[in-house]
Amino acid sequence: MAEKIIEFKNVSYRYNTEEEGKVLPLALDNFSLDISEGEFIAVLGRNGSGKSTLAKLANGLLIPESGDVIVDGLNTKDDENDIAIKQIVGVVFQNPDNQIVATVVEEDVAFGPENLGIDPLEIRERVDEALNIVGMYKYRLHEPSKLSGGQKQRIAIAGIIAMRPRCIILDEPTAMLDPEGRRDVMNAIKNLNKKIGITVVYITHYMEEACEADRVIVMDKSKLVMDASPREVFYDSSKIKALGLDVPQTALLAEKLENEGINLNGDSLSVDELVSSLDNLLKARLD
Amino acid sequence: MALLRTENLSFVYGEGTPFKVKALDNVNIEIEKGQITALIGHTGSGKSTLVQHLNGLLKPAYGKIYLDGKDIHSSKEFTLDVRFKVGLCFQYPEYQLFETTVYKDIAFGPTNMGLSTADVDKRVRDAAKLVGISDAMLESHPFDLSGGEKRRVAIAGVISMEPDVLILDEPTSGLDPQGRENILSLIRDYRDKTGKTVVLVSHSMDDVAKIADKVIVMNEAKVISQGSVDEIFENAKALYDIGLSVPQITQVFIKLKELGYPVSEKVYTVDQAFSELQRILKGGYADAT
Repeated sequence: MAEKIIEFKNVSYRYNTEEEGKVLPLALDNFSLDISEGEFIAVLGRNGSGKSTLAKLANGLLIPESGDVIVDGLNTKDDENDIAIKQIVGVVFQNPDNQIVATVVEEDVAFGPENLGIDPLEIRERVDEALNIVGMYKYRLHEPSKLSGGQKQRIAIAGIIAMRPRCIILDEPTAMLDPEGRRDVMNAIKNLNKKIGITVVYITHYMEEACEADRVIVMDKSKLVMDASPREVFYDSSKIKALGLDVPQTALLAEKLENEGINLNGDSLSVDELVSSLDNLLKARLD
Repeated sequence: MALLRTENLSFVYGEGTPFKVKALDNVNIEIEKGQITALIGHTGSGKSTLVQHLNGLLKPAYGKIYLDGKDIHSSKEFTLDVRFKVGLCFQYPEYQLFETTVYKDIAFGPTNMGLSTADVDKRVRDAAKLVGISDAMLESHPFDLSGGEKRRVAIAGVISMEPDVLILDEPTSGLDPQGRENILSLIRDYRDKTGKTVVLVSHSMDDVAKIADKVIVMNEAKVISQGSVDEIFENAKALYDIGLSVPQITQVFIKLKELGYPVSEKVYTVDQAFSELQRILKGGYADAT
């Protein structure tokens, strides 16, 4: 078992309201979750289910009302841990336009490490490396405002990578992107997780993106309601629909085939998996 | 006859500068009355430029636009009239809510059309009903609503002007699956109840396959195909190749075809996929074409 990098222990949180005498309901309700180093976790749930609150609690942007969030042994409640925690866990948000600070791509990526007081020579190295990982190196001297949404979002991710976090949390990073931008960002993230071993927590509304993760957690009404592999989560289509989510077409087809007595061997959630299990099925049947 | 039609429409941004870009290149489209027409294309393909021409926000460099057979730039009065007849709802329209109550926000358009208070009231209530906003919600502050509700209010703000053609630019983007489904069924209901014409701008073939009667595909400033959903999916791989999101199941069949199986690419629902597999399994290689 890999080392735990983030632990949520019975965490509850509620937002303040300026309206007097009014208390908002809990945004996160007695939530517990262990995230291990190297995992790729997708977080699903309808709007308002507590997903973004989870992201902000994970690196100390928000502090729990009760319970504890422990990042690599450090409690986010203790002020003196703040900088260390933010170096371990980086967050990328939905709107790329709100996350770009500089007028040249490489300066934007350098912003984080500069603020950590890193030696300039090393910053140069980190910026080049980060831009290569997200496939944006050739745009290093471009102006961010002239790039597409998907490119800007990859710059934002590079800015986080340059701080060398061990865990990256992405809060619907592809929600505002077109299909091509979405594919590019997803590939960059898979690269980060599989090749570099960075822990990824990926919040999304796109079920086919969740299928790429090793583990899926589902939130509903401020609580954790499911925690399993993508295959197990999408197995019960009526339950998933009741939680306001979609079931990927791939899973529905596998379910339908199974009901007709045709069992696909192996996983069939991602497009490639389904293609290869159908390929096996057809080969066997048609010979 | 088509309700809205373009004839050899072309448009160039930055004419006379080194940054000149051709945004529309000889575009000829027809939008039929009472249909839901989807306009799909990759970012930068010219979809937004095209819809801004359809209600006269942009003036064509070359070519003409006809509404009900009449050139929309034939007179200044008619161009103004077209702004109300062709209602445009932009992407993320909830960012454009600005009034203190939902009611006032929906009333803004009809009030500016110079209608009487009684008429405005009727239109606000009718529009709210069409998008599923309750009477109680009309008095709340727009910012107290959820994201999906805000979007419906913004759409009601356009519907309340009772346009002949309602154009929606990416109406489902950024919403969760339930929210996406709600907006799509709202659009279908609106068309069924009012019989009005709808143009839906999208880059998701998933959404389009669910509700469109006709699809127009744009790529690099040109219309590359138009037809029914079925006709467009005949060549699904081409859609994928120009950067559109085609349904997962369609991707599976494109790949099976590449592996040499005699399957059709025209598969976009789970039921279609299932019958296509059954056909292959029963027929085997011999009689499949």
